[in-house]
Amino acid sequence: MVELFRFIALIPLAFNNFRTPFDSEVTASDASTSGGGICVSRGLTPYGHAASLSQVRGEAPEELDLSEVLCVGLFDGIGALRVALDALGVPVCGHISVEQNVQAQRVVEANFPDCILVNDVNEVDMIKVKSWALKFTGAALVLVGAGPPCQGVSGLNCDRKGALRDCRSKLFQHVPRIVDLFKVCFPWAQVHSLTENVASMDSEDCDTMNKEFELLPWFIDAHLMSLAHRPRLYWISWELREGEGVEIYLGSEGKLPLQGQVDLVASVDEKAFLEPGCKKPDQKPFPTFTTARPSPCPMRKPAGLKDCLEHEILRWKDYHHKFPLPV
Amino acid sequence: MAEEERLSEYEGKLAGPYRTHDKKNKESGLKRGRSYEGWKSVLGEKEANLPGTRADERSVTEAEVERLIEEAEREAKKAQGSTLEPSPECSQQAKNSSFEEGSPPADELASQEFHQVARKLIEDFMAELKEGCTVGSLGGLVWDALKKIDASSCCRPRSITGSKELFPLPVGGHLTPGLPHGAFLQAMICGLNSLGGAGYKQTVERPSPAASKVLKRLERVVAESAVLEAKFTGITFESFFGTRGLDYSGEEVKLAQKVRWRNIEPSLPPQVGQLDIRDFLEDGVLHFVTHIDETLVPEVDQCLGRTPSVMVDPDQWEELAVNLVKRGLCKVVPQSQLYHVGSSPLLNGLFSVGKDEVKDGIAVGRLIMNLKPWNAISQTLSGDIGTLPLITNMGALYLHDNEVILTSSEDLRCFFYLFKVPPEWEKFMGFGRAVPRCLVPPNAEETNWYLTGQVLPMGYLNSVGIAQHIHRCVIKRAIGSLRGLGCTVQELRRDRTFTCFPNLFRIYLDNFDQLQRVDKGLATMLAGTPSDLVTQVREYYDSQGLPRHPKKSVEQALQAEVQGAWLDGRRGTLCAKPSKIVKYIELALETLRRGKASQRELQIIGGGFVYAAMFRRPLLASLNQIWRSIQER
Repeated sequence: MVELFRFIALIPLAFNNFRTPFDSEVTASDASTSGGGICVSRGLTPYGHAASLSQVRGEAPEELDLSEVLCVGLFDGIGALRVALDALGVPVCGHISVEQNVQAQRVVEANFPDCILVNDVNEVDMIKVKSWALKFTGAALVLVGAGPPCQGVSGLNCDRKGALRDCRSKLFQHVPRIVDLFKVCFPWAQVHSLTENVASMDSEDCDTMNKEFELLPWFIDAHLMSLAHRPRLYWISWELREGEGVEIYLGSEGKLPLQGQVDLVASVDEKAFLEPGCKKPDQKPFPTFTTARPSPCPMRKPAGLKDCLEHEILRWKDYHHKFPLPV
Repeated sequence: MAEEERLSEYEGKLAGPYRTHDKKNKESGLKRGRSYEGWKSVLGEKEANLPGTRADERSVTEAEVERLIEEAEREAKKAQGSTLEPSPECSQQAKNSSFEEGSPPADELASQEFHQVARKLIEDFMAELKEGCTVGSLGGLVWDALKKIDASSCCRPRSITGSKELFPLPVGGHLTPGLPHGAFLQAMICGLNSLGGAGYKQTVERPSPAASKVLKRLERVVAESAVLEAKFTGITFESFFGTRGLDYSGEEVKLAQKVRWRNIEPSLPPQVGQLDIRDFLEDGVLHFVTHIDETLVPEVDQCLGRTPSVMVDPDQWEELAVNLVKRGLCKVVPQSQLYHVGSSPLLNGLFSVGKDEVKDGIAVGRLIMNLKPWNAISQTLSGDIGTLPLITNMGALYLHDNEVILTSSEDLRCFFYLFKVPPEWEKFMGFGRAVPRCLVPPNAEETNWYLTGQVLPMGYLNSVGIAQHIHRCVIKRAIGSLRGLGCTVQELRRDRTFTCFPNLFRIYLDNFDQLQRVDKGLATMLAGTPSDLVTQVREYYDSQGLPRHPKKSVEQALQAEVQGAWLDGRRGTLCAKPSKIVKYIELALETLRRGKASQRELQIIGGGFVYAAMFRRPLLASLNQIWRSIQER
């Protein structure tokens, strides 16, 4: 009863005031009925600093008839495909992240709370894709990105079984299956795919994948736009065109059945990547980054060992063989 | 131990340090319950002792927080000579406050006494109530009622900021004399004191400089309040429930009424059923509307419930059916053409709801197709539902001192029924009553013939998303066509962040609003004229045969209704429409006079007050007991 009287007394306060000045301190309070808490910002975190420099919606004009993109990440990892789309300013109407690793899922979920998480590519079936079609009716383009596991085909793995025999690497076969499901369920939209795998695979494995994807891959090494090598093959379902920073070379040297090579060239500021005080020893790009896996003994037939100098082998041992050679 | 008791005991423990006012504790630094100012000063001091950091740059690590908490607990122990258990004194205080937020006085007797007093006050007020009285005239009543409450009763533990405490604000003696609604202002201050943890004390101490500023601000708020100028309507629960009720989820809805052609005819413009819906759709919505069967749940999961009733008196049925067919809203089909689940035909219901309009002495109604059976076998098609704007998201708008908001608005008549759906829909939209004999085709082989809908129905699960999509397509084409205003406006939509662009528009089903932030001087020149955007939209509506509601048009106005809320572009404020809120205040007064309320009455009042509070979210903190009462019943 008292509450009703009190609320009536307070009702003139129930309005938004568009002229309320901003406060530099941001507060967040808990509205629980059984406890309470408040916190207040005391400065900017690096993330906050980056956000403060970002553009706010409305600072630039925007097109009204933008075609929205549905981002589908198979073997999505930490959602790099979505990050790339956001960096390009593409209007994303939804993000479906298919990833088994729970830690990676957590990263994606934390950064893109509205994404749809699926645990396993095997779970993606017609019923699921149809339900997404009913949800994302505004998608004019469905972009299926995939980075299937490469352990079974990677040249770094001397025990590799090949594209179809390794239980991890053979998951690549789901990519065309799922792309086809999207084509059936999203007949109004363009459906395109972008599949990535290591360039160190054998010609036979590359050929197997080409047949599955019904595409020839492009070879792209990131070293012209970053500090490190990252030679990869990309099966891309749309036509590539040259432009500023994009050079296309058709044909292959015969080692792998490729469509050609794409050089993505950009000026790279070392300082933007290296910690203060660090610098590259020479102009050569860093070798491809891999996960560090320390081990008391080296894996069988480590790649690159025969080409290493003695001090490099010693350093490799000092690091408990956790980095690929040469170290 | 019951969950509630355990909770209360836990809160009692926490309440201990909250209420400790001894000097040592104040000096000890971190304690639970410290106010924001307190936390700021403590963190500032502690941070100064951390090596190599600047107060405005670094963030506190988890380990540091742990250390600070441990330190604070040590200090607290030292100060109290014990653990964080409450002292006997604190315990008593905690007990007193255990009735928690917004609850009535703990003592039942006091509660009854308060009710008697409140009832007398309301009856006296009602006896003197004249026609045309406003909410502002309630000030004296509310103020008198709040004065009768035990001054020490408190809705939450009081903070311990000591001299920095803002509350209680002085209630009398320091307000500007002769203020309009002065009593209301006093009541409001009293309410704020209660929310601020200072109970209903009516202190008249000299205000601090900060309190003086607050009081001045509150004076302005009360003086400019639109709701205080709203006139009472005379509504009672009896009259309210004559036209409205609650749906299964507790939402307020209009009551279903029997359909009579003469009631619904005035709401149907000549264009109903004349526009092919497919001409207004794009992408996935177009696909699913033309392939509606793809939205059904798998056959094995399909199940038909009870057929809803066709709420039409037998003597009205023929007139209604004939006219629905004549106007293109329905057609007649044999039973074999209806969708069947198993061997049963899918049949739906019909009813109408009041439109709060009277035309030529006849109450105008809106025809509603109750498609629950079809909904039960349909999957959700999102359409553009994610773009429906929320009025309360407008809080992110910022106005500079030299700016005002100009509002333009357009409304389309009978929006849903304008659009004829593809023939594939008809089998799902049959209504559960056989058509009058006059509508059965001569020489028909089948015996059972039914009416089936031909227009976008309002009761279909996916209609809202489709309707929103239609209007967005229309506006997109309108803006992009002719003089190409494309990049000069931006859309406000729920699924996008707010925009700081100065020229905005929002689409809410049949309604289009344009909101422009413009210079005050320019606004006076523009006010009352249609904007370029609206002119272009109107031209497009006309070219497509979409009928406008000219009476509902708003042309660059400084004050206007937007999605049921009241936008004052000159003051830069947005609130619930006063004429709406006054009804809930009247219903609350009725309840207060009675001293009791049913669950659904409380739901109605609570729902209305929550809606009002959405425009000042902290006010939600004052509606706890009423919520608890609703849940407990």
